[in-house]
Amino acid sequence: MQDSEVGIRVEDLSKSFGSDEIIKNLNFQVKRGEFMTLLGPSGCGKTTTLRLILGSILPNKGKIYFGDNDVTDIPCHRRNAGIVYQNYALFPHMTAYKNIAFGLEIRDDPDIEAKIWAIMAKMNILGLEGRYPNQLSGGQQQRVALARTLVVEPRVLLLDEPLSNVDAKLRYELRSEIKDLQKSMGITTLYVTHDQEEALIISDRIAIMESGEIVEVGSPGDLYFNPEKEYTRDFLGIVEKRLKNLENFRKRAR
Amino acid sequence: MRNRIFSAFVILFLSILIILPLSITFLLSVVPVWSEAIPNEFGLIWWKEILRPAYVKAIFNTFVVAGLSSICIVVYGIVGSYLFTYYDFMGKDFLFSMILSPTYVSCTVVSLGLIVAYVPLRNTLWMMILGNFVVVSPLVMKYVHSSMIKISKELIEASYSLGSSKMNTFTKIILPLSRQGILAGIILSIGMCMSALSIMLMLYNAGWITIPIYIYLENTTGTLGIAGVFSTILIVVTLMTVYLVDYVSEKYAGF
Amino acid sequence: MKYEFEKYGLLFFIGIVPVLFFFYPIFLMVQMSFHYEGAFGFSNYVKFLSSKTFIQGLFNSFFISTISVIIISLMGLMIVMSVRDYDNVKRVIKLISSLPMVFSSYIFCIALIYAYGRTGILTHLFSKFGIDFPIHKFLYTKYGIIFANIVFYLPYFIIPLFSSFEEIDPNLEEAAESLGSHGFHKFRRIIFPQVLHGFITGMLVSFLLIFNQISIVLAIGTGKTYTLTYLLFSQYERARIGMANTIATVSLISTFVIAFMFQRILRVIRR
Repeated sequence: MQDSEVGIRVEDLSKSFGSDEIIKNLNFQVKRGEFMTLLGPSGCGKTTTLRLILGSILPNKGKIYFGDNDVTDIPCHRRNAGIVYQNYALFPHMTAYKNIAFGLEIRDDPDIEAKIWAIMAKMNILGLEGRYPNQLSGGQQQRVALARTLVVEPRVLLLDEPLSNVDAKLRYELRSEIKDLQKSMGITTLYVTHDQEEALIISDRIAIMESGEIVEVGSPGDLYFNPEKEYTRDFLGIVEKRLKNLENFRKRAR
Repeated sequence: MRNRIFSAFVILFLSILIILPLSITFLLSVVPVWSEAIPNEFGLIWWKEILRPAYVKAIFNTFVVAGLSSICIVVYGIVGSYLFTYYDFMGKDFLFSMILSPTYVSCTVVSLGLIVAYVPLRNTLWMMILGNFVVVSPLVMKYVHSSMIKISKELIEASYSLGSSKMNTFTKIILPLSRQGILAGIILSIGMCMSALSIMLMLYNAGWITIPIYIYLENTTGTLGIAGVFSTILIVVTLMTVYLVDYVSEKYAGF
Repeated sequence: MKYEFEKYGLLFFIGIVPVLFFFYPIFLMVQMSFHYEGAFGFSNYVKFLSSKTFIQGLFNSFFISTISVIIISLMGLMIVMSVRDYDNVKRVIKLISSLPMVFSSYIFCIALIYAYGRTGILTHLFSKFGIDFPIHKFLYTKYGIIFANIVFYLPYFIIPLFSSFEEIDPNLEEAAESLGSHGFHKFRRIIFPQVLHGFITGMLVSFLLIFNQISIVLAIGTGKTYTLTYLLFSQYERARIGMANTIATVSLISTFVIAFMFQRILRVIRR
């Protein structure tokens, strides 16, 4: 892979907390503009990986690259990696408008207002600018969180199970919105989830993680129909079981 | 790195400020005569003095007053917390703030009020207990209540559904599950009743002199050795209570 | 029916206690302060306001409490901010801080005098090195009382403040950092607003505790520094119950005013 095509590159990354080795010699790449998902069960280290790339924790060993730049030693507040959380993490003492404006104000952006209205229009949250987070629904909060992150045009976008706190119907809406947004902005995206269906539907490529290591990387189709590793087959195999159950239900209910 | 140095400095600072004076109170008890800045003669003379009947009575008085007061305080705290946790009524918040109001007011004001309002109780043991009660019970109730309210309502419901009476649920489910707050309340109550001077200052009487009063009196007359011994006893007993209660709660932690 | 009886029974038992033993005595005290030799009048208050000692005492109470609280809150904030990420240090500090809470402030002050006073251990130790450890110079004045207040009540402020900090959603700080916020900017715009409520409440609690206490003044004041509570006690000792009631009422009113002001501030903050 040519360097200019690299969005994020992780090299020999290791992280331990005390005597617990959470991440062991991690190596993977996300292409520029690609939507990659880290998929694995709880506790496999995917959130830790995300935070290492974000820069809020430092690795014991290894390097992290955004494109050609080695960002391993660059602190979080200068790395310009955007993050969206499961619990939205909106600043509760600020209105939606102020939340979104926060990053722009730090950068002394001259076009603050214009940019905020533009992103709010894009995210379909016009009219909510004066509301505080506790006056917004879960879906609205997540949209504000996305707006806040995207308005500062981060180099990479990190999403930590952002749809787990959203109810099912809204989840499908937001999922396709996020995907469309990502495609139109062309931003390198790393998405973390434990939901197999979600990963298969939304990703360009998936990296299966287990106990701090990458088991297999591939496109959704490759991993589902032609998995190389036993673990992948078992982990994604559950989707097949669910589809069969659904099919049985449809047959019986008719 | 800078933060680590600052943290070390903070600990050193707090230690000198807080631990040093406390160790001095112990020193006071083992120095026969504190004439120079740094004592060089040590002896147990003051500890022998303590065995005089007047002082022994003071120790006895302290335990009795603190014990009786604490019983009233903790019972009131538990019953009150039960009321506020499991019942709804008009003016609930108002009543709760009413109960907490003594914490906003000086002990001397409380004492004066009791003296003025309950003249026949002046100079009796009951006045001392009352003073302790008014000042300490709001704090204890806060602790017990915050523990009790954390018990999941589903547990209570399950207990009733299995046929348990209210009293049985109270003794077998609610009390054990709120024991953290109750034990904290007991420690607080005993600690404060035994060592607080400001409450006893205006309410004590000659027949029931307690340790804090003695410390105050001995300080004003200059016999600090006794004050030192009493202080050390108080500190040790309080620490022992904390340790004991901690140990007991640990032992029954998992049931 | 039985349930209602039970509820109101408990309610009566619990409710009657503060009324009987707190509100009624206070009511009586306030009422008696407006009586002089059997007749209703303000003469007690006139006496209070025209006495230099009493006015000085009122001023001292406010002065000492205000200065102590300002210093305690700034010091407390600095300490908590700098050690909140280090669990071991935090545990040690919490442990050391819980010591003054279990001991009487009176004993503590005697010990302070023996450590830092004119003939104190530390003063003596430092003088051997030629350094004049300055605490003994002001220990017996109102500044000494402020010093003792700070040492004794700082823990009461720090421990709830730690809880406030622990309640902050860690994702918020991470999100702020990812958007470029760092250091003082992050503290001012993200962290402090989250703990502001606990901070102000801590200030109120400390202020009231310091304003209302007497043991420290008794131990360190050497009778030359008066505060309201001290004056109340000394009037009582001289059997001047009338004046004592007056001082108590003034003290109560002051407490109400302070608590009311702080509640207003808190209401403005709690959007």
